Amino acid sequence: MILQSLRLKPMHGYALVKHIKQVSDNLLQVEEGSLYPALQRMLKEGLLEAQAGISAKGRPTRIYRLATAGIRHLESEVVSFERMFAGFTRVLAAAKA
Amino acid sequence: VSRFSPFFFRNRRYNDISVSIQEHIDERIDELMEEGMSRDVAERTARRDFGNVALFRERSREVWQWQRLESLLVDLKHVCRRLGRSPGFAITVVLTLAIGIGANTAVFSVLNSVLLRPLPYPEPQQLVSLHLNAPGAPGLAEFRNELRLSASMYLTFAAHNRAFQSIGVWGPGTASITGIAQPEQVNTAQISSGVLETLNVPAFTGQWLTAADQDSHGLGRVMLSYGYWQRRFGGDPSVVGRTISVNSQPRVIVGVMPRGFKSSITTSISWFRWPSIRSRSTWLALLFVASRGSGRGLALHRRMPMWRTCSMSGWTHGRMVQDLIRTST
Repeated sequence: MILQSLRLKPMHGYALVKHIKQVSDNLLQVEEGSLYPALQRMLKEGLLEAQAGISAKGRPTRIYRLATAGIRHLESEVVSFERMFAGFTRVLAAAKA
Repeated sequence: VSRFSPFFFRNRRYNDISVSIQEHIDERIDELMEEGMSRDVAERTARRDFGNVALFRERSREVWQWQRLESLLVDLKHVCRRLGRSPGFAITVVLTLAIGIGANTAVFSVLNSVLLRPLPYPEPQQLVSLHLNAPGAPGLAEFRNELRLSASMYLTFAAHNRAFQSIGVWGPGTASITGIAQPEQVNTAQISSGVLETLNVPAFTGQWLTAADQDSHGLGRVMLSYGYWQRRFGGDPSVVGRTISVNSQPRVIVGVMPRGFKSSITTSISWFRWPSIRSRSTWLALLFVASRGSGRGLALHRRMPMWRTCSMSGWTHGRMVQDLIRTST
């Protein structure tokens, strides 16, 4: 979710939380604090890049951007997730039939 | 500078994390206040929604840390601070540890050299030592009930030896060397025929002393230790055949023993010489090598450190004892 959100546009942490809540119609509640360790792990793995920036309220913050490795990782994760989701769908359809 | 860059880099990461989290909470507070909350309530709500700020900040930082190492360093710092606050206790602990470790090291060094490490000779397991026990001989035996070995006893053992491949005796001594630069007193080992054959360590250069050197009317030849050879002759190989003055007597050097060779009785032997066996009444050590392929043996007389004894076959042991009884009756 984080990678997909950042693919649309670079964002800072709070904007990322708000974006996921809005896009999922509040179905997905991101635990706000746990976002930051996850972002640091992705930074360390080279999936993201961070740079100093200014928030919408004019305060200093860090803007996270998807790196090239992050795009590749996202695409493989999406393929994997879609395959798993297709499997679930088929099993559920067979159970209904 | 590049060696320290990871530390600067990490500090920058830590700063990024703090700035991001602070901005997150501030922005949330602003939003809640725009919805009509008071500042106090908005702050409490924002922090509650975020969760434990310190915990998440720490978890974010841990991503960039070598956790185990840094945890160890923190523990060490804590220990040092605690010890610094109570120096008396610290000194006691350090001294206890130092003495304990030192004592253990000393005991192990002794055990290792006496019991564990094999003797520095070929087939050391075949070397045995023998003590002459005489519990019922008051006046003759010393406090450990062991007899001193006389030259006649050794010669009898050597002449009637059937149990061992070779037999030899040696004793430590000192001698004055003159005629080379400054006069010098050196530690020596006086050896009989059979010692070098028993230890079976070839000469580094030159040759061994031979049985003919045991003759009191012979040339009186000597061998040098490697250390003495290096120190006094600069490792000159032409030293073999030269004559040196030992206790004012001319002695021909026949060879040099290899580096590290010791008789294991004295550790600072500088050279060997071959005395007249019959000129000494008592000997300090008795050396055997078992014969007939049954094993070698080394026997040491009293006052000498006990090296080790090997488990000889019952037959060989029995024969040796029989020989000793036969020679003593």
